[in-house]
Amino acid sequence: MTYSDQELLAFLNGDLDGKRAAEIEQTMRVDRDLESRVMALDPVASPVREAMIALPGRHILKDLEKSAFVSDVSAGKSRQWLKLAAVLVLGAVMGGSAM
Amino acid sequence: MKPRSVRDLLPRSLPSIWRFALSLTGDVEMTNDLVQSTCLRAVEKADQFRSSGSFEGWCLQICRSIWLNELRSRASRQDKAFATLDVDQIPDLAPGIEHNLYAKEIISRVMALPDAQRSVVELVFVQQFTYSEAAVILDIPIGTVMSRLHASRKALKEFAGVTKREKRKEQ
Repeated sequence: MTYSDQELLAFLNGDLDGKRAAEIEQTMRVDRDLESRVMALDPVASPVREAMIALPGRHILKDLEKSAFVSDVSAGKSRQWLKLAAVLVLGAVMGGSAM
Repeated sequence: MKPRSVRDLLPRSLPSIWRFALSLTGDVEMTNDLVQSTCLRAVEKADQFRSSGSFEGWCLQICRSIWLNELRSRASRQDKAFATLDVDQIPDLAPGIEHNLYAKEIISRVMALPDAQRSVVELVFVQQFTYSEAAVILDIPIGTVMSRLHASRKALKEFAGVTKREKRKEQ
């Protein structure tokens, strides 16, 4: 089944009759190319994308990059400290028993 | 996948995760917290990611799951609209957008959509996931994705149409 751009635009605008619209919707579920065509024709998608893609700003991103991994890094560091402490204690115990 | 690989991939996905989180929460502070939780969870669950799938899609599924749990724990699930969030409350818009009234107006209108529509708009219009991918991320039928998009389009169309005509006049 082929659909003209005009028909697909009418579908996107909700101007197509129910039966035909349902048919396009059904076809899109199995036809990736049709889905891509519909997405590309969508008159609202592009202005929305252009506006929204600017979010988040640089400062928010920088803060996120720092904070998103802080807990992870500090958890890693504390594990390292624990390992180090365990080695020191073990060393002290072994050293003590050798004397 | 190893946690280190996930940590390497995450910075590139942060903008997408942040916008999606904003579409769920409607609040900048909650968004930042949600993004942080998502990153940590992604690192913890690194071994569950299959490299055949979309990394961003996987992160967004985690993000949504954390948000739903948060909502459940607060027992405050309401279909609140974003209307309360003023674009000017987003402290740090990307360069160029501060003075771009058109972009600000569009963001405001997207924010004013009900949250169910907002997240679909973010995934399909902005992040360009296919309808079926968006359905998987949101765990809803593809028909629901389409009907939510249709409703959003109705709400956003008038403004986008008017602005396009104005732009054409200017040229």
